[in-house]
Amino acid sequence: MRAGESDAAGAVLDAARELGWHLPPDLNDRITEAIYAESSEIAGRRIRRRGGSLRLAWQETLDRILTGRWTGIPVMLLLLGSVLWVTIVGANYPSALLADLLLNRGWHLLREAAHAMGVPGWLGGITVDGMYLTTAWVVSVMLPPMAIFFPIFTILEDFGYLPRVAFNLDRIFKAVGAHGKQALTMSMGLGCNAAGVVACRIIDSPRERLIAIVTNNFALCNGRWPTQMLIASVFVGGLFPPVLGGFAAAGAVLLVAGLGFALAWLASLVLSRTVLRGEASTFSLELPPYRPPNILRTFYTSIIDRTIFVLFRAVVFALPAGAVIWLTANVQVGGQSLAYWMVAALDGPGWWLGLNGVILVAYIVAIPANEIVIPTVLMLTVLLTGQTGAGPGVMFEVDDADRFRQILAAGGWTALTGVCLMIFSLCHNPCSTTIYTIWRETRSAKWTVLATLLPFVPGVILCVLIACVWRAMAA
Amino acid sequence: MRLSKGDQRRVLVEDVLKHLHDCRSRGVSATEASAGGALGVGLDRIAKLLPELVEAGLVERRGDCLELTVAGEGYALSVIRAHRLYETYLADRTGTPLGEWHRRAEVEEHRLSPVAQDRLADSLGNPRFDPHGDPIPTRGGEVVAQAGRPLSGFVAGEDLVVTHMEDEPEEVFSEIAKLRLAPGMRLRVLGCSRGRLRVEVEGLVQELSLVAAERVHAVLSPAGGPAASQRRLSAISLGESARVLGISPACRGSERTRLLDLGVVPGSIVEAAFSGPLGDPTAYRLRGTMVGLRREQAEQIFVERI
Amino acid sequence: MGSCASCGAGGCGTAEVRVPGLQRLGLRPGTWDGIVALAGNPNTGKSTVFNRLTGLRQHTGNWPGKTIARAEGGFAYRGRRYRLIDLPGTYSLLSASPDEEVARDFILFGRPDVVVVVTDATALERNLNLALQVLQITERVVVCLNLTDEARALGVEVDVAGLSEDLGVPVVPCVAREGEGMIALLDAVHGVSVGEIECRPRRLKLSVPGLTGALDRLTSLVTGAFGDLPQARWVALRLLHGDRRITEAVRTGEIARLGAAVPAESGARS
Ligand SMILES: Nc1nc2c(ncn2[C@@H]2O[C@H](COP(=O)(O)OP(=O)(O)O)[C@@H](O)[C@H]2O)c(=O)[nH]1
Ligand SMILES: [Mg+2]
Repeated sequence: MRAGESDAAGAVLDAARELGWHLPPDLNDRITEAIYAESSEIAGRRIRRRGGSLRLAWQETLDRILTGRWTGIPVMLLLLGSVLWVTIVGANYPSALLADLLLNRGWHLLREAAHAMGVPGWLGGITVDGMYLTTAWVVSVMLPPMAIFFPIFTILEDFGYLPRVAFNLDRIFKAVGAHGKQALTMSMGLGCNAAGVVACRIIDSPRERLIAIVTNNFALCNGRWPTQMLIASVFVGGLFPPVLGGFAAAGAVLLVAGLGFALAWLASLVLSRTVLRGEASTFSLELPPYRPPNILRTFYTSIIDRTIFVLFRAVVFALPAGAVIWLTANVQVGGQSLAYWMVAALDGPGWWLGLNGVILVAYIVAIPANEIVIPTVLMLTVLLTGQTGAGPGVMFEVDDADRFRQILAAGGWTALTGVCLMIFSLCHNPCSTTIYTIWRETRSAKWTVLATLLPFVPGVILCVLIACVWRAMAA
Repeated sequence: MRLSKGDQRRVLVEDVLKHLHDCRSRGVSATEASAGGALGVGLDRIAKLLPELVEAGLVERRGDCLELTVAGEGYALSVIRAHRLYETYLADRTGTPLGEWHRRAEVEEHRLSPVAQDRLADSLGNPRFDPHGDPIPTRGGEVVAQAGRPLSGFVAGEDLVVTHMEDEPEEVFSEIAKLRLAPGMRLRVLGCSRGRLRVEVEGLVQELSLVAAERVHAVLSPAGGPAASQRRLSAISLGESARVLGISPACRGSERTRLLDLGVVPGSIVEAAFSGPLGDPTAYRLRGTMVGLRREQAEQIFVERI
Repeated sequence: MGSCASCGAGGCGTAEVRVPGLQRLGLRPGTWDGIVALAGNPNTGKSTVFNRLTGLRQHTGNWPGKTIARAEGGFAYRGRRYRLIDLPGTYSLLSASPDEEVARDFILFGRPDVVVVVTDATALERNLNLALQVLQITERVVVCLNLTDEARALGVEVDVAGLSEDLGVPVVPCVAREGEGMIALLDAVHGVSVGEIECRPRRLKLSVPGLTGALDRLTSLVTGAFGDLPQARWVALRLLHGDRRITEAVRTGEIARLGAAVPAESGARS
């Protein structure tokens, strides 16, 4: 049976070889041409066009603005800047509300309940002070900006703006031997780096695909937007009068996001001159027509799909992390807590980076999910500076941004810490999901390790540099 | 990669056979010294190997000269087939830069068994020529004759079709590669000045050094040269329309299929709609859709003004 | 696979327009009576249709290349349970780029009972290029003429009945984002799946010198070797052109599987 089959197969393949020899060598071209001729004929017969549609004129005008020589890039920056501004300013109030609800009232309520039920101190500590508090922080810090940012981003996506961004930036990526669609995959990375890495499959050339994968982490993902926005409004916005604070903060975040793109560009340049040497390959990108998005549905679904999904992930990671943080802050070794020792050990390197030990510990705890960096920082600061011990009601009675500033100031933070944290949050290892995704997409330990460690290079250099210059100027 | 002793020996045997084949096709006689020189191998190794080749019935000695037997010729052709198939594979199925084709095929030609060669050939649609225009020997060892003489031998005004480009030496080939010449392209010799040959290649005027022109082979075009109205798509200014004539033979593999699939087929009407803020890429209206192409790619598309 | 389903979903989701008789089965269809594949050019609304029918939340958005791996879900209609596959967008079945291969392989070797080709009514010419190719490898096709609202806005009118006549398969005009036309689409899928609607897919003429003769010869050899495959002619075409996957399938004999009748009324395949 098998032998017979393969004989038959052999005969078929031989015949194909023989017959193919007499056909035109550009067979594929001819066939595609023939099929197109038929579809063109059918379409010509079955389609009627009424000339001069308003929609067409409108689309042309939009393209003239959104990809125009003088307008294309300014409008792009303006759009992203406005999205950030709306998010930062808009998130303030609900954030304060949630914080009051979850941190102030909810936490007290739970504490009292635990006390009333006679829950042992350590169990109450792990669950209420550890798991609950961390999770509450995740929700109050992350939910409002996401609930504003994602719907706006999705509307831009449905509208058809993303491919125009790739179109506008292609030239820049081409100059460093990368693919224009890298702008698309980086835009995806603005949502989620893991999704961005998967999206790199749209890049045909293996070399350029690797470049795009390895550098995707420089696109600020949604796990890091809230960190950026919060730190920017506390430390950058705080330097300005209240009316300008929002603009300054949005400008700072835009600058960091722009720095991310610049670093991705630089990293691509270095990669395509060294380990991934080669020429820029081809670029063909369909620019779909602008389609007016269905705004209400987009809002609804992007809140359900993206926001809740990301929040869920953050909460899942925050719960165990909260327990771990509480334990490290309460398990005593040699008369001091474990967290104290860890923070003390990392304070030195932290100082050089313009950061501190707490932040570095938080980044280690938050390897599974970047979203919980800020909550971890807050938790550790609160626990280590003994702010929880000050008695109920003491710490959560001030307005949102001020409260953070107070907590952080107690931990010894300055504007330098804020700026360096923003840089470091942009330039550090990808989260575990992204690392796993990179491995799955490349099947190579080498590229996974490179992609994981690469961001530290500019991160450490920039932070050390800023810290040195800052301190020199302050002195 | 480290080769075992046996593999190293086989590679050397195959390289010697290829050298003998090469000498025969160029009409010069091969000797132990010429083989050692061409392969960069010590004479002692060649001398040790040759009796075995003679013993195996692959090579005959005629005085000092070495000749391939029929079996030896078949073996050499099989290695050449592997080489050219692999280059075609690299060109059509991978994004490997063309400067690397030859080097990688030099390694792979020693690894592809005849069965693997057949599979590769089937999966490539049994191509007749490699990307440089060299004929690929068939399974039975037939080789299509190759026509053409160096470009530098033609005079101004003659209409030609490129048949072959030599891929060695590398510096010269990289010049040819930059012009994105390929077998099958039509050109017209415009003239020669200051040591450079001016040619119009499918609607685009290009220059190449005489050294490079030596290594590009062509025949007189039976169907005449490029029409006066022919352009490259990249030369169409914004707002203008053109009719597609075809895609350059230099554009191969997935790059070519993607363009075809998007509707870049002869007869399609393209309109240059707008270009990006940095001048490149340009968006083209094509079959009811809008497609952004880089300049380099638009240059691969032959059109005529309408 | 499916990480894009988990990582960032957006766009279309639950419908306000209820489709009578449709039961969304989400991720776990359990057992099924038929497999339906969604194919089409990138950005034509495949994932939107998918989300409509399954209640899932595949990533949608107005740019080509969002769906990179195939996604699966289920729905039940008129008492039949279907597994629905959302394929990555593809411009053609002739090329061999990795993302397009996923789609091509599934249409060919996944043996779907019905292939729904989702087309963009505003760029029909390019979309028909793919639809015509799909018609060469499977008979059970429904063409979803999507984005008709956009077409209307652009002043494009499509003669649906005439198109259906030309293609030899049902053509259903839809506005997937708003849920318009979903009932008709489901009816067509159901009809084709149970055999109530008979498809007579248009065969390509392929006027290339010498091709017809070569194709005839090779097709008869293919059917001789592997039985009466419905796509024998297309297989022959791919062999002439040199298609890695197809030559491999011929060599291993896998190609014969294409001929095995699809058990249309089978209870549960899993
Ligand atoms: N106006 C309009 N937009 C639609 C329709 N169907 C889908 N879309 C939008 O078109 C875009 C592409 O849809 P998607 O399902 O992601 O396409 P896919 O690439 O084929 O999966 C999305 O922004 C959808 O919201 C429709 O019928 N009308
Ligand atoms: Mg999709």
